[in-house]
Formats: sequence, C-alpha cells, structure tokens
Amino acid sequence: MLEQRDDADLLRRYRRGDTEAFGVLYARHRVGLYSFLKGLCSDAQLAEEIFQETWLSLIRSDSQQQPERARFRSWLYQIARHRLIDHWRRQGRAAPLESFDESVHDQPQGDGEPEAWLQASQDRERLEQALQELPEEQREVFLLRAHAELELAEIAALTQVPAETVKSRLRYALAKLRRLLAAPLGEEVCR
Amino acid sequence: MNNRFDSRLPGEAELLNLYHETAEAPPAALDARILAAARQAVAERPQPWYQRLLAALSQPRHSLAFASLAAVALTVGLLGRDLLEKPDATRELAADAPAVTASAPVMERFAEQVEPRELARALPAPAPQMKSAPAAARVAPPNEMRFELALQEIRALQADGRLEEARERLAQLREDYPQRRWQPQLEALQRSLEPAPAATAGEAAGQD
Repeated sequence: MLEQRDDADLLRRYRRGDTEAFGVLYARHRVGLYSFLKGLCSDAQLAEEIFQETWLSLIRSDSQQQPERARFRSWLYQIARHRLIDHWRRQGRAAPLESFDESVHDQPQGDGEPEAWLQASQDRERLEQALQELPEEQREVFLLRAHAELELAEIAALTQVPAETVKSRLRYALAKLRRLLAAPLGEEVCR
Repeated sequence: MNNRFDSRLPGEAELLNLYHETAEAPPAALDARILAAARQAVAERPQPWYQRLLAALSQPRHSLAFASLAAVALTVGLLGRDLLEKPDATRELAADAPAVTASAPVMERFAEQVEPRELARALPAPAPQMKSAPAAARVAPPNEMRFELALQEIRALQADGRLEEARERLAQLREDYPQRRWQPQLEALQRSLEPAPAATAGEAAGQD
C-alpha cells in the first residue's frame, strides 16, 4: 500500500508520525544516494558519514521543508551535495564542483566497440576506477543521472548551473567513460 | 539489461544502466542507525492532537473502537436532549425524591418510641409475610393508644369480677410504664382494685 505512494506523500506521513512511511521512503533512495556519495567523494567512510547526516537532517528538522516545486529526490540529493561541499570546505579543500572549466576537459572520443567495453566492464572495480578518472563536475552530473535518475533540467537546478553546461558535462563524461572502459586493462589512460 | 533512461546522448543509456545496476548499498548497520533515529524522532516529537487522532484512526483496530465510542456518545447525547425537551419528566422525578427521603426520618422517630415487647403484646399477631420486627414497628400505634387500651382492658376485667387478673394486669402496666406509675388514672384504678378496708367492714357490721 505505502509502496504505491509518491515520495512527497510518504514524507508527509512521516511528519505525522508514520514511521513505516519513512521506511518505504528510505528503502527507495538508500542505494542511489549512497552510490552517488561514494562515487562522488571516492571515500566509503566519508560517504557513510554524509549519507547519515543527510537522513538525520531530514528526520530531525521539521522546519526543513521540501520546496513545493522540487521533487523529493532532487531535494534529497541537494541536501547531500551541500553537506559534502561543507565538509570539503571545513577540510580546507576548495569546492571543485563549483569551479570547473569545461573546455579544459574537452577530449576526443575513443573508437572502442561498445559491446567490447561493456563486456569488459562488468568488473565493479574497473567501473569505479573509470568513474574516478572523470573530473568531479562531470562525475557529479553522471552520478546524478545514473543514481538519482534526474532529468538534465533538475540537475541544472540542483547544481545551479545552466542546463547547457549540464548537458555538456554529461556528454564529456560519457565519452571519457566509454574510452576508459573500452581500453584494455592495465593500459595507461591519459585525460 | 533494462533501459531505465531515455537516451538523449549517444551511448548514454547503456552506460547509465551499467552503473545503476552495479550500485552499492549502504552497510546494514548504517541502515539500522538511521531507521532507529527515525523512530526515536517520532517518539520524542510532540504531535498535535489532531495528528495523533488521524494516526490512530488510520489503524484498522482503532477504527472499531472509535466507532463504538462515537455510538455511545451519540446515544448519551440523544437521551440528554430528550430529558431537556421534557421538563415535566424531570419535575416529576424531582418532586418524588423529597417525599421519599422525608418519610424516612419520621418513621425512624416513631420506631424509637415503641419497644418491641410492647408491640408484641398490644398488637394482633402479625401476618406471616410481615415477620420483620423493624417493619412492624414502623406501622405500630403510638404509646398513648396502647396505654389507654390496657386501661380499658383492666376496667373490663374489673367489671367482670376478675379482680385478681385485673390487679396482675395493672401491676404489669405500671411496670411497663414506670413514668406513668403515679398518674391519677392508675392511682384511682389501683385503689378501686384494692381489698375493702377494715373500717368499711366495721361500718358494715354496725349497720347490720
């Protein structure tokens, strides 16, 4: 019954005290959010910390209301992203997600056969390695598409960059991943 | 491989699906911590009364209880309204109540004046269904009446020439009513029942 309800309704029910609704909402987004954070920061411990902070902020703050026009999914990932950027800033690291020049990373596409690299890329470790080869801005857009299943316009709103920039980042990310995964194992990859 | 994504860029859907299907779940301990925190937050959160009511009503087992409670409340409300709309009924009830309560002290005072032993003597034998002494006491005649009846009985014995019985009955009466022992009626009756004095006998002999 609850599984049929949308995210916003489940959140409203939880706000009224229905913990089962929260369970359904959490089950729906736990894998995607965790994979997004782990792929973005490439640190399992940090990913767990930000993941927990994100959910706890949702749980404990009644005043933190979902914007009316935003999907819950987009709002949830936005909270997580802000938490991660705050963490990086506290660590003295510049927020790379906000300062990125697309033209620097414009690389020609590789010529690998899709079937070949798909076959070769079944290894999760290799997928992860290829993902980490992406610039963080491209990786973020790709992860938001792959795990949050957001539309380009939603990603643009979430990251506060123009939609054309999002589309460009995604195109570069796809091209580079395709090239990295098609390359034979152990081959040095230049960015 | 399922295509979850609308392919807008060349090769996008395949790559997105590839990463989506190899996504990693958070550790079970992390799941447990978050779910426990969610439950605890709800337990600690003060809920407005209408939200608690809605949450309770959404549970089927509480719906039946609420329906029963509503039915009882409705019944009580309708009965109350009927009484308000019929003031005569309430007046009748109010009028009856003092009468019942007022009669009780009177009967109590009356019963205190009567001794059971006197009642047994003065009244006819009670009917079998009236065995209860306190109940009989509450309907007994007053003392004055029984005293007068006893006097009449003694005078009747005297008139019949049953003087010995009359004396015994008089002695018993004076014993039963010590406060009236020296009343003129009893004194006169006592004297009339006493044996004739010697002077009287002498006068009678002189006349002879």
